[in-house]
Amino acid sequence: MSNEINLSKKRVEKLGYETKIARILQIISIVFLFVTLVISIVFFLLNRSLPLEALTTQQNSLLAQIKPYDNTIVSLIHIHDRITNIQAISRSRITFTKYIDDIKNLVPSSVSIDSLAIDDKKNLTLSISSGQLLSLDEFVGNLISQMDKKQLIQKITISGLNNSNTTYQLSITGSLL
Amino acid sequence: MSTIGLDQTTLQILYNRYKKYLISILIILVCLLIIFLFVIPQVQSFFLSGQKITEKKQTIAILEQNLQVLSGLNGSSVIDNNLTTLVSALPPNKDFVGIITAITQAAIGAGVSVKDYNFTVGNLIEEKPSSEQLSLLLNLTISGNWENAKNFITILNQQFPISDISNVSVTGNDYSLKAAFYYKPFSQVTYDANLPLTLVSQKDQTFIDTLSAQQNSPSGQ
Repeated sequence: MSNEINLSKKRVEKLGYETKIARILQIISIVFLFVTLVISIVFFLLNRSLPLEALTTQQNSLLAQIKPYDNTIVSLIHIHDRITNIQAISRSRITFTKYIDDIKNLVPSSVSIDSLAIDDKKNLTLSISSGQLLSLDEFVGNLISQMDKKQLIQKITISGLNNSNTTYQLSITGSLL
Repeated sequence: MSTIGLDQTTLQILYNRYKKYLISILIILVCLLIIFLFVIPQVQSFFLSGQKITEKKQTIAILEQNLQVLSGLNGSSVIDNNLTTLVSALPPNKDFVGIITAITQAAIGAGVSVKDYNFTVGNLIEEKPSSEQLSLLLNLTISGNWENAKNFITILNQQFPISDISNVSVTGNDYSLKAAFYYKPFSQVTYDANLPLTLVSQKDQTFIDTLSAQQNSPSGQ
């Protein structure tokens, strides 16, 4: 109660300071209110003005127009899928005819091929025979020469040499490049 | 430890003492609350919508392009013809009649005699449709000279259904071959209409035309 009747200079200064603070707070609160209102209204209107719904409608309309072409689209997908598969099969083919031709070209005329087999891993099994050991040696030399040149043959192994009467039979295994 | 009693009189005094600040502070607090709860989400929503609009416009452009392409194809038999050729080359199921025809055509074309062949057909329709390409293995023995056998392999490679020879074995004039004849069931197609449609490229069309030419040539040459 004693504060209410205190009219000293100090008291008057304190009251002036409090009024100033209150005025500043009032101004800040009004600015806050104004800014909040303006931003809210602006963004509300901006959000309302965005053509998102119109675009969605346009998209749905286009999808509806494309719908009758579903079978064509599915056919196109099947076409691409089958092209990819057929090309992959074509690429994976081993050119057996070329391999056999190349091996035959290495065989001297006095040597005959008894059996020749090439599998999908390019493994070679070969059996040749001749009346002359020198011819068989020439053939093996040709194979080694190809291997040295890194052509046709990757590795060879002589798995057997048999002699019956006057015929020599040579068995070779190996792998092709 | 001292305690402070907040009775009605004390609150009244405090209110009277600070009421000139209280309304302003309350307004500021409410404004802050509105900013955090409503304004910021609305700003975020605005920018997000902007992004969505850009995406939608791109999608619409794609759809318009797709529609134009599809309208251009309307009535054209190119797609059907291409698919027919490719399905002949890579049938959806085990085409054992096609395989026998292919062997016969290759043998006639190459002038070799087919001594014997065997393959297991199994179920004609796959019980569980597979998206993988499958094959039917065939063991075959032909008789002839090497040039004829070479022709047989070349022609067989050009026959439908598409095949791949995996083993060749030569004994005298007998050639044993192991061939895989491929087939691929139609898989369940799911597509997104909002993605760009890929037409058959010129390179692929040339490939299909080559296959079609092979198909129309009985000996594959």
